[in-house]
Amino acid sequence: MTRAAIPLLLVLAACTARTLREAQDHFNRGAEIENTSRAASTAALLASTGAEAEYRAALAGLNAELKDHSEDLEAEGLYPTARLLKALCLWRLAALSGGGLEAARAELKDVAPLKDKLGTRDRVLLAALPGLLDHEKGLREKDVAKAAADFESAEKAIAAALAAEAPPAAHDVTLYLRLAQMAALRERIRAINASALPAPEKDAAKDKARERFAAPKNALKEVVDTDPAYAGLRALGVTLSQAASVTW
Amino acid sequence: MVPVDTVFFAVQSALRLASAFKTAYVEATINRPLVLPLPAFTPVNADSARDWFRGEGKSAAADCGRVGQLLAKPYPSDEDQKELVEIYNLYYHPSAREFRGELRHAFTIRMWANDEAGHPSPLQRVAGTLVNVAVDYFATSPGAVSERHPQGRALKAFLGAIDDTDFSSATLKEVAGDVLTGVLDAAPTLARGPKESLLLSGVSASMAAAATDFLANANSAQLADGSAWLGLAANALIRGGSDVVLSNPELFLGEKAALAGVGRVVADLVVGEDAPTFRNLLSGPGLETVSRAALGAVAAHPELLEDKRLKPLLVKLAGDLSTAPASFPEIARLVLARTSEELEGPLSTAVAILAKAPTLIGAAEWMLDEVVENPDWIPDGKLKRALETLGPLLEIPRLSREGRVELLRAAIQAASARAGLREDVDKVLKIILDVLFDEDLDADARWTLSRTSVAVAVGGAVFGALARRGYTPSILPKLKKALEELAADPETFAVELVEAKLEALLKKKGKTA
Repeated sequence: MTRAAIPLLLVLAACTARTLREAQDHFNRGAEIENTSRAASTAALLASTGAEAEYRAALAGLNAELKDHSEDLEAEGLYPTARLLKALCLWRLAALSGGGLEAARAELKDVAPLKDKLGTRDRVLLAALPGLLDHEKGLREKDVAKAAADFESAEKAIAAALAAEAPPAAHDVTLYLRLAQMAALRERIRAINASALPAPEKDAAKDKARERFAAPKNALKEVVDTDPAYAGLRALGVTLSQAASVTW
Repeated sequence: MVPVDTVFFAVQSALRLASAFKTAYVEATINRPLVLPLPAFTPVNADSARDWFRGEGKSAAADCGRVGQLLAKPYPSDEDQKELVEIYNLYYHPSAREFRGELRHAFTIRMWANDEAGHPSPLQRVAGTLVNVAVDYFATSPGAVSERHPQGRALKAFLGAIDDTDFSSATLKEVAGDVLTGVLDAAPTLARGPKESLLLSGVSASMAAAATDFLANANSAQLADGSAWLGLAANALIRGGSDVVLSNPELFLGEKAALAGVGRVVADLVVGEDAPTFRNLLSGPGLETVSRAALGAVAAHPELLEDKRLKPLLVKLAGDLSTAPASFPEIARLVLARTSEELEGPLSTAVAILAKAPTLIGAAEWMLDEVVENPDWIPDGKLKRALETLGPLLEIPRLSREGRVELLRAAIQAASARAGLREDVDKVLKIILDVLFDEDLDADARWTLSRTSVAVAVGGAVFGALARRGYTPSILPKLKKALEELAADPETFAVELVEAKLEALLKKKGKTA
């Protein structure tokens, strides 16, 4: 009887964790679809629909779990992880559907007090998410001056998050955010180029952005050039640098 | 009767175990890798190119008059913009598209702690993945994690091997889980002991080495396939070869580390350059057969590994047997069990012939034994031709596989004994089979004559007599006539009559000669 009871006990005990895992699986699948569609460039629209569906499934699972079992999640220490994942889902859904970013921002506000209960990656992501949301805002901004300001804010917020949380230089999340910084700066340069500023002012603004570009680029370069585990990121770093007209 | 303390202890242990499992499961959930998409960005465009040629790339622009013209245009057309970007790409970033395909792995973000070193150990890199795999694996039998349980010991041995391993980390994440599952699945076949742990570590390390060499630059689909095959290979080596390894511990687990060598060869077969061929030829059980045979061959001839002959031998076999994929594991086993430096060539020739006719595959064991006994047997051109022509003749549905082998053996033995028969052995066999399996025979005659047992007996009698008495081509029409006369009366047909008639014919032939 004891032998039979153990698995049952385990299943019951780990129920909320299992639901959270399902949401993580949906989120990861959605992100993989997004990344793959960018790599393949074809069928991107179809892929983004698939990614959106995965994020929605993740969000639905999380909402149900947070509504019905938030006490269990709290008791098991999974509550902060679930809330952060929800914020990430809202970020991606806003990005893919073009919907408002307010829901994600509101979620971030709620999660912020839980920061110390999160692991390194999640803590750093929580700090950097406002910047990632600013990047999304910039992408959909019609006024190029405002867009440039959004991208500037995005990059600075991410830099501040890295400075505040200080993850190791070769941590996955650090490298991801270095690339995100470079992407924001590249978009800032693009917005400046599209602006109606007189040529000298435009050049000065772009130079400023490129000066800031050097920090994340050099930090990324140092890791990818010395750690074979991250060599795969080199080509992406090079591509971003070239798009920003900066020597790698 | 069960003592109260025992029951109490059992309940307490169960609860502790459940609590420990729950904690591990929850922690593993928090630490699960997360895939993140990079925020969208605009790739290189005309602005990027213009900015560069006006800034850092000034000298490049000065060298190329066309760039100067394009930059000078106040309102460049779409074509101009495109051309500028193309020149920029040529000058500046020919490798820009390389990052495609890297994204999936690039942005799988793990949760290692802030205070960990900048270069986490291989085990640290995959700890999350392994915990997830192990937790899922042991979910229904958590007690198995104990070191008292073979799978618990296997887990520990695997973790030890991984920690000493230099997997390239992008592949490690993907591969480690499959290899671990392969090892855990095979673990119950092992007893407890330090040698068993070394066996598990050796196999795991071999898979890791193969992954590093062959999968480091694989795309995600290749990595997923390769990973599954490495899991299968780990499982096959342990299941198929543990007794061979454990009975030769000095060779396989000692300084010579022959297990690692064989493991590496087996892993290379399924993820290396020849993987497409081998994956077509091998399944799980087949891989087990080949692994076991490879270990056995190395146990008998360690130089097979030292001289790096094992892999080429298997590659050659795979090439020869590509048309008979189902036979590969068994033929590989037969060849490896007989191989030595001197025999490799003749055995290989025999396999090349075997592969040409499905009938001959059934006779592989016998043929390869003959090669071992007389390595010059096959290279004799006439015998080789005989073997090649006999195979298709025996493709008669009513002949059993064993019957075909028996007939083949009788024919070849006679041809070996009488050089004159080698060119015509197929003609003799054709006469026998044409008479016994004649389509025009009536139902009663077919019932009596068209049988494997009759064919084998008649074949044995005919080839036996020719081997004893000798052969000249003039006997062929007489043999045909004699057999047809006997077959005309199925009621009285008997092998003894065939023998007697043949003896009489051959006596006459002797006298004539």
